[in-house]
Amino acid sequence: MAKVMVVDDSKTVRSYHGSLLKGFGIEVVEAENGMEALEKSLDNDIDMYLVDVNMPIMDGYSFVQEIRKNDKFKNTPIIMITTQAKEDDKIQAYNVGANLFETKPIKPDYLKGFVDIFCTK
Amino acid sequence: MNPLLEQFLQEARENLAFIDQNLSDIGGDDPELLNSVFRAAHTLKGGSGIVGFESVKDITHSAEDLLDMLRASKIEFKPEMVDVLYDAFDEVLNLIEAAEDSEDIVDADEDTKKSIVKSLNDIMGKDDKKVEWSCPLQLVDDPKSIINMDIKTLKSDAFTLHFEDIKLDENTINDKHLFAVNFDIDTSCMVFGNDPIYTLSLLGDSVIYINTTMSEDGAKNILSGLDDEEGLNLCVDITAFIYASYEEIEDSLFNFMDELRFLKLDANLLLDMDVEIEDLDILIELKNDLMTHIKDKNQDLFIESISKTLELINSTSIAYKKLLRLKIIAEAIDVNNLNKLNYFVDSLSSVASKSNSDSGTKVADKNVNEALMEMFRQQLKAIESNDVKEDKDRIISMLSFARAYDSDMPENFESIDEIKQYINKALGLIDENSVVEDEVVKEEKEVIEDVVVKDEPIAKEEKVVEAPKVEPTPEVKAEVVKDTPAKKPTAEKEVHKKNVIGKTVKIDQDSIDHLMNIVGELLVAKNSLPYLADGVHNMNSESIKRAILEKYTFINRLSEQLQDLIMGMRMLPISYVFDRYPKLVRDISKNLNKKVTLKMDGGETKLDKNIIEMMADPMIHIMRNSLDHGIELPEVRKEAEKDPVGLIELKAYSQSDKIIIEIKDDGAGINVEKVIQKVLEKELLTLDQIDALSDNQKAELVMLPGLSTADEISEYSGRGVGMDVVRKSIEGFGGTISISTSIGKGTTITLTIPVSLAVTSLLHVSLSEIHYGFPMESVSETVKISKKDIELLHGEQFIYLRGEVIPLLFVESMLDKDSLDDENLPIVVLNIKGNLLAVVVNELLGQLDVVQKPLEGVLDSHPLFSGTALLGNGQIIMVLDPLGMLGLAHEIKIKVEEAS
Repeated sequence: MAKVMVVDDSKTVRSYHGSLLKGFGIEVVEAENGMEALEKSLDNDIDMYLVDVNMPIMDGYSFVQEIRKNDKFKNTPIIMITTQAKEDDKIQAYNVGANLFETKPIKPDYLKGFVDIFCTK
Repeated sequence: MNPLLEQFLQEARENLAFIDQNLSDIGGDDPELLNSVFRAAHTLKGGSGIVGFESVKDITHSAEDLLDMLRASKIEFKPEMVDVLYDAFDEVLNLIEAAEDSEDIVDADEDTKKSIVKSLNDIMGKDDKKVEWSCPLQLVDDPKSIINMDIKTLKSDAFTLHFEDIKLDENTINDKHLFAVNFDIDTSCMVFGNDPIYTLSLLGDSVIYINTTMSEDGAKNILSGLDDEEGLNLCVDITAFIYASYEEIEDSLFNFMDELRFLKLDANLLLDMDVEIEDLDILIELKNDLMTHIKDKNQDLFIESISKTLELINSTSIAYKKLLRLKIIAEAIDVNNLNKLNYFVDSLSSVASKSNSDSGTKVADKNVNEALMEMFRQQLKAIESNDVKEDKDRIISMLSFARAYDSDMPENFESIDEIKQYINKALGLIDENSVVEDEVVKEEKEVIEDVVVKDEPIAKEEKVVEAPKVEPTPEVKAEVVKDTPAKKPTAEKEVHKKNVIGKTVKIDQDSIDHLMNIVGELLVAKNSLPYLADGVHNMNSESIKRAILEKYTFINRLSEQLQDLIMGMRMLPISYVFDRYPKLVRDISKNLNKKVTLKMDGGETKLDKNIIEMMADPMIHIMRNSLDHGIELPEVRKEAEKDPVGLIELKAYSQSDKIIIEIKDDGAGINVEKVIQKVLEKELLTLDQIDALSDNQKAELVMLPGLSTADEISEYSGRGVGMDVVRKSIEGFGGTISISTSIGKGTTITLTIPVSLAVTSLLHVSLSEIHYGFPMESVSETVKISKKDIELLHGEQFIYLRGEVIPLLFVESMLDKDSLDDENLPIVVLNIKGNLLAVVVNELLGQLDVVQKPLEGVLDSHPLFSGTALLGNGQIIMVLDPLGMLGLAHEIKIKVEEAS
């Protein structure tokens, strides 16, 4: 089964996105911040990431930057999600290595589409 | 309650508490503090968006913007900002509380919300409109809720975007196309003489079809009974289908240009029916027929085919609506206007050829189409943006995911330009498909609106009544307490139980592990009992007794541990109450024009959750009093050579099994003489009674019911129903309150509060074989004295104990005098708020921990007893009220005096 990691410090957001993904038949791994996500990434074969921008300990940008340094995750689709979609944020998201940038909450239809495209296992 | 909402509310509580604690310091030097406050607000907004709590989202959105600007140093910090933010988060807290009560999302009072958002925006220097439209838009699920909905929630953002996204290349501007033009106009446009229908008529027969539906605004206005006597408000939503060049449209509709949204239509869009599973055979057949008619350029047969099909398929399906639209457009096309017909036919033919070429690849459904389009758009944007670093590999890795849906994708991309070319091409193809979907969504919505217009007037009345009410603000609540203290103290308590702290308690992992261990041991202990039972016949009674006692000791130890642990879990730091005070003090002192510093100490002291909840109100009352009557105005303080800034200190610490809370101010102190004068004036006590009191007791007279020392009633305190209510509620949960004051120097109010409510420690005694308990907190000691040592003074009995004279209470009606040993009289010495009282009992039986139950029915508020408890053997024990004992002693004294 394909795996998606949801990285967000808000439990509400994690369970919302998590339950949507589970509904699409996807296994969900949750992480509260970038640091936890990095640790969990090593033990899991992740097909796609949903990453919040603002998080304590390690924020989304730093996380993406870090994970991209590892060749194993070079091409893993990373979708950054945040409530404030400003142009600057989008540019920064691309520059640190994210693939896509979406506003929170991500629309179920979009999420379904992304899952169909990216989680091909 | 919906579990997602429940989780959100809990999380919101935590975030709000955090914000409340730290907000006042955001102007300081610590950027991390501002960051963490921002994050909390941000999380709050994100969560509210997800559960659809619009009112909370709107407010937190603006608050978050302000914090964000501060964080990025885009604006300079001003102290007023803290106040505005406090107001905003207070309203959010109200909404959260209201949602907890109603177990559902509530709407904010529109005016309050607007004024909060406005003041936030004002302080940021933003204008209202911009903020309102920057929110992500949402579609309504339940059309009936439209009446109470904010207008922006009615529009789908995808829908809005597509109309705006039109690229104005030369081709679009100069050549004729079929456009769908949506009028997003103000309802009052007619008042200013702008008639969209008239203006459209200027375009002549370029206008193929005008689709009008009741607009959201219009429906809302009509249903909410908005006055429109002259009929000038435009209550329709207009979409016109126009065959013309963009330039021509611009020339004729220049009045409305800013309010128009364009969508380039072609037959691709009009004929796409892939999504329908129902009636698929019929539709495929029709499609083939239509293609033939297009090739033959036979308009009549084309229309006839559609008409026939329309009769066959489900009239509520999307395909039906699409076909109907296609028929209308086809009918409207003038056969003599070759241009129009050619464009139409050409675009239809392109569909025909395309539909044959697709095979061997995955079929992208609507979701995938949208997602692909979104993905392509973002990649393109990244490529085109100058600020983004070029990263070809990453973009190619993204595109390779799309290969499954497009067999035409090149195997390799040599350059960024090639990628760009491909994406543009792909977008062209997908765009058309998914735009159809948005069109459909829109059409469905139009139908929904029609329904609303027809059905809603009856339902409207109910809806208004049902609209959830927002909780009153804390200030208003406090007013209620003051005005009707006697009537509703319990109801108030109930409200507070819910409001101060959330309904959940957080427990750390260690406690749970520990609990698990104890439960494990308990199981072992339980399992050993059957073995004991099996072996009983081989044992004598003495060894049985020993064995049982052994097990008892074991189980006793476990249950004590269990109790300690669970009591510990119920404990919360008192900062839950303390944290509300900085804001309270700031608000009140500002209104009173006083300057006050608040010092807090010992916030980490832990107390039972229930007590914390019950303490919140009385504490606020005391603080208000200190601020209003205690601390003087800055000028007065200067004259008295005091620091013009007053000081209120809050201190909490534990002392054996009690928590002491001190509220100390360096204000004017209580004018005891004035209090006494008032007491005498109101004839609450006699002069003799007052003379007998100590200085502190005299100060405590302010807590007599029906007394207020304030000459004028102020907004914050002083209606004579203050301190007595405080005392009642503190004593209600077993606490005590004492006051010490010094004129000109200040007042200290000390609350002594039991750590926990659930289990009471009792001194177990018996009088005439009936079991009683004295609450341990009022027992000072137990002694045995000889009858000879009892002294008589003015007919009253006293004992001397270490030099102190203690009145002795000899309750003849309750004691069994015959069984008393004259040499060893068992005596309990009670300390009731500083008053010592010795009570003679028949037997001292030791200490007991019990769960005390209040008295009910006729026994409720019995003067002598405060409750009952069960003994291990099932016997009932009456819990004596020490205050009642004091009263009894007083009565006896009066009787003795009368008799002599």
